Amino acid sequence: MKKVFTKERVRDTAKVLCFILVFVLLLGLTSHWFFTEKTAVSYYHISRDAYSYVREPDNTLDAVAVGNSDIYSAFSPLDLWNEYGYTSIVCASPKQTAQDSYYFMKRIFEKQRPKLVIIETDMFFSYSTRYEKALIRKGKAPNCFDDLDPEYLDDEISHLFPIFQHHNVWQGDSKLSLLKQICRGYKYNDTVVRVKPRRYLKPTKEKSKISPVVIGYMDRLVNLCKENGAEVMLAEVPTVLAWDGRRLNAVKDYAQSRKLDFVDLNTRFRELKLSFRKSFRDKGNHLNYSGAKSVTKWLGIYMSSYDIKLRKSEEVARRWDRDYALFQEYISQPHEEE
Amino acid sequence: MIGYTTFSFFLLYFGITFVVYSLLPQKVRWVALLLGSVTFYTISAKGHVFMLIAVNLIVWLVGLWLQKLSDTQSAKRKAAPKEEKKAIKAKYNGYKRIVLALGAVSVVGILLTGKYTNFFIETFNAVFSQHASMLNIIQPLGLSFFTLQAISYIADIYYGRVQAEKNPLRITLFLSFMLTVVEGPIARYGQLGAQLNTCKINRLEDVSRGFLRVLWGLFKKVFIADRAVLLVTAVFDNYESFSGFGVVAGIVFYTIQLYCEFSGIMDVMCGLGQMMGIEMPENFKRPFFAKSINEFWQRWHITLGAWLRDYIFYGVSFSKGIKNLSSKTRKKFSPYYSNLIPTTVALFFVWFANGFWHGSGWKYIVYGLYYYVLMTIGLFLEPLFAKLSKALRIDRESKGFGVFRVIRTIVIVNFGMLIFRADDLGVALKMFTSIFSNLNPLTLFLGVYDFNTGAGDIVLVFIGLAAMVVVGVISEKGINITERIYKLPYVAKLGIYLAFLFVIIIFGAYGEGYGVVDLIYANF
Repeated sequence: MKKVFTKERVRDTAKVLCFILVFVLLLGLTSHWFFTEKTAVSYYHISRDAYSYVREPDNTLDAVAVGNSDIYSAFSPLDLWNEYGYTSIVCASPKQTAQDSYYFMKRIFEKQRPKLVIIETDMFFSYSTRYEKALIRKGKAPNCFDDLDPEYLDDEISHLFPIFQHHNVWQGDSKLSLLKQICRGYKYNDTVVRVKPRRYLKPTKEKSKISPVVIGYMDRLVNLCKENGAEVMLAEVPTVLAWDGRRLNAVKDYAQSRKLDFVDLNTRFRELKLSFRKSFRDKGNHLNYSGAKSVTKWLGIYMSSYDIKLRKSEEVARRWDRDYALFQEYISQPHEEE
Repeated sequence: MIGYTTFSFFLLYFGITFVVYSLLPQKVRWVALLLGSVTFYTISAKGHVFMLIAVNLIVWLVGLWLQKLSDTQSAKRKAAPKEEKKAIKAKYNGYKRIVLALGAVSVVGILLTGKYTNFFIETFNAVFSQHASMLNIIQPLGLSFFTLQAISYIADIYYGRVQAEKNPLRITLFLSFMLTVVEGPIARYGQLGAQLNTCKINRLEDVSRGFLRVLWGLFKKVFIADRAVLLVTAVFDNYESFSGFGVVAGIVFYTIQLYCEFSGIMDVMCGLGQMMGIEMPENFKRPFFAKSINEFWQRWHITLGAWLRDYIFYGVSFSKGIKNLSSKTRKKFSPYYSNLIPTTVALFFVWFANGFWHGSGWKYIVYGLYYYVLMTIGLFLEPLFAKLSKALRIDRESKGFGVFRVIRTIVIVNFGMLIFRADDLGVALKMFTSIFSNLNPLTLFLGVYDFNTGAGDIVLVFIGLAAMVVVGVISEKGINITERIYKLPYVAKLGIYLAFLFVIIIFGAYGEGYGVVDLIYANF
């Protein structure tokens, strides 16, 4: 042992520790000053819509929807407000995962008391790596080694130092369009692309496999909502390319095991009066505004089965009314796509 | 999760191993590496370690067997009279060949079973119009890498380059070493194995130099490659929506992505190895400065090229068949072509193996043979090119011609990448033809914005590339940037390291809006 702890080594170790200390200190300071939620909502163009909850006054939201691009293309809080009087936001970003949604909801619950959380279920089918996907698909996972995987550490550190989450703020501009300020996470898009569905919703008894990591975070998310007095609703919005019967069966199983409400709007395509010619903005992955209006309307009716409406102050109601009017004005005039 | 750029890898798997390794006496340090590596592999592979254990046992036993035969051969030859020595040598060489073949065939059998079974079934079904079902076989993590290392270990014992290891756990460490098992470099026992056994004392200078290399690797992977992937995915998933220029941009960006990712991860591995005082084999040497595809492959995935050269090219070249062919060609052709013909026959096996190793699909075989065909044509036409150059008074040693050769190599490599990345050969062909059928520069980035690739992302890729070119040119001139930085005072070094770290953290393509980017070679 003598050889290991020489004077030179102690000095070297001190230098390394000094470096680590300065690094951690800088991480903490930059996270506290520059890379915060507030800068993300103002600057980061890819996922700043997910942070729209930051602008809402405390305890004014009835519902929150979390998920990936499917939900931010399909659910319009302003239309929901106008038709049914619910105040809601969409907290979604491209490729958002169950872990992202969990941490978003954790922060939302610090300032809001939503009575309903809508979890969009496309997130169930994200995998850490191709290797994990292959194992799960072939039925070779999950197994006991998943419990030993320290993957959670990556999420914990990212949330301990927000710089790792909000480091992309340099990408956006500070001029947030009016639409972005008022849409509450919904990404308005009125492009129309005709979709040619292949094997859409072919009935099957097979089930897709869900990653244990996703299940773990879904469980945490559901528990978090329940602990905060919010009802949980699992919902799949119409998406022609990503969704199939195997996924439907898998989510159904999960919903049953957790005794959760699950609606798959793909199976209600006709009831929603959606059209492959007019309701999508791309090859079938995402709905356009026309499709989103139908989905929002249906969800509004469905949400009445939950006792979620809060009493809003006149000021809050006025704000939502004003934003809806601005939204209508915007979409009624010629505009460039954002 | 298999990720060399995750906190869990740096802090837990490598971090704990590094601290324990550094604190332990030199003699037992290898145990820390073994425990760290086995834990990393077992958890990352989700317990699918059977094939690694099987390969480990096979090469351990075959190694001991070969060693025993070599020792007996030496002892008997020493004791035998002069006239019997040759016979003893021939007899034991024969035995050794059989044992080596037994070991190599067993390891290759495991590789073929784990990686290619369903490819064979698929091909059988297609050729004979059958419907045989696919087997539920999992390709274990790092199979392609540790099997090549295993074969090289027993082959090196056979050739007398290394002594067989008696302790099977030391072979386990060599095969499952956390810095090589997922995507190489493909190490040799004589080089890496020896270092893993001796574990020299690592000093602050090792840690400092190694850390800088880790940062450089992370820069290439997180700053450039993971950002380039956005455009690559957009183009390759929807190539019909892109103009010819868009498709070219997608292919070029894939080449950038693959190079920056693979060489970046290799830099991270070499840097981490250096921090522990372990010198890892180099896998890249600025390949885009190569003037020919032959030179390119001496600079790209060097350890694979060296493996194929040592164990396939030499193996085939010194076989009886090639020797016979050589003697026949010598009688019929000029010295240049009489040497070339047997060489190209041996090269066929090298390039076929290269393509086949890369993946279980015909496109990979075509990818390997693409280089073989080009290289063979180049070699056969070389005398003609030389004559033409002379007639046209082209100075083949001039700088201008050198630049032309570099550009030509880059173009050839990019077309190879198209085959490599496209879903299948049909798609590759369609993409290739679309380059020429839809050349409208106004639609260059048509569709790119739909996939969240902003101008900022594209600009950053180019900034990163510019940095790489500058570093590459400086390094080509023989200037060692790491040394220059290392010689700076502690505070200046601290500032440079921290600045570099924060550039990667702030401008890296990860987190919200960016999916996790799988390591491409981890799937081979």
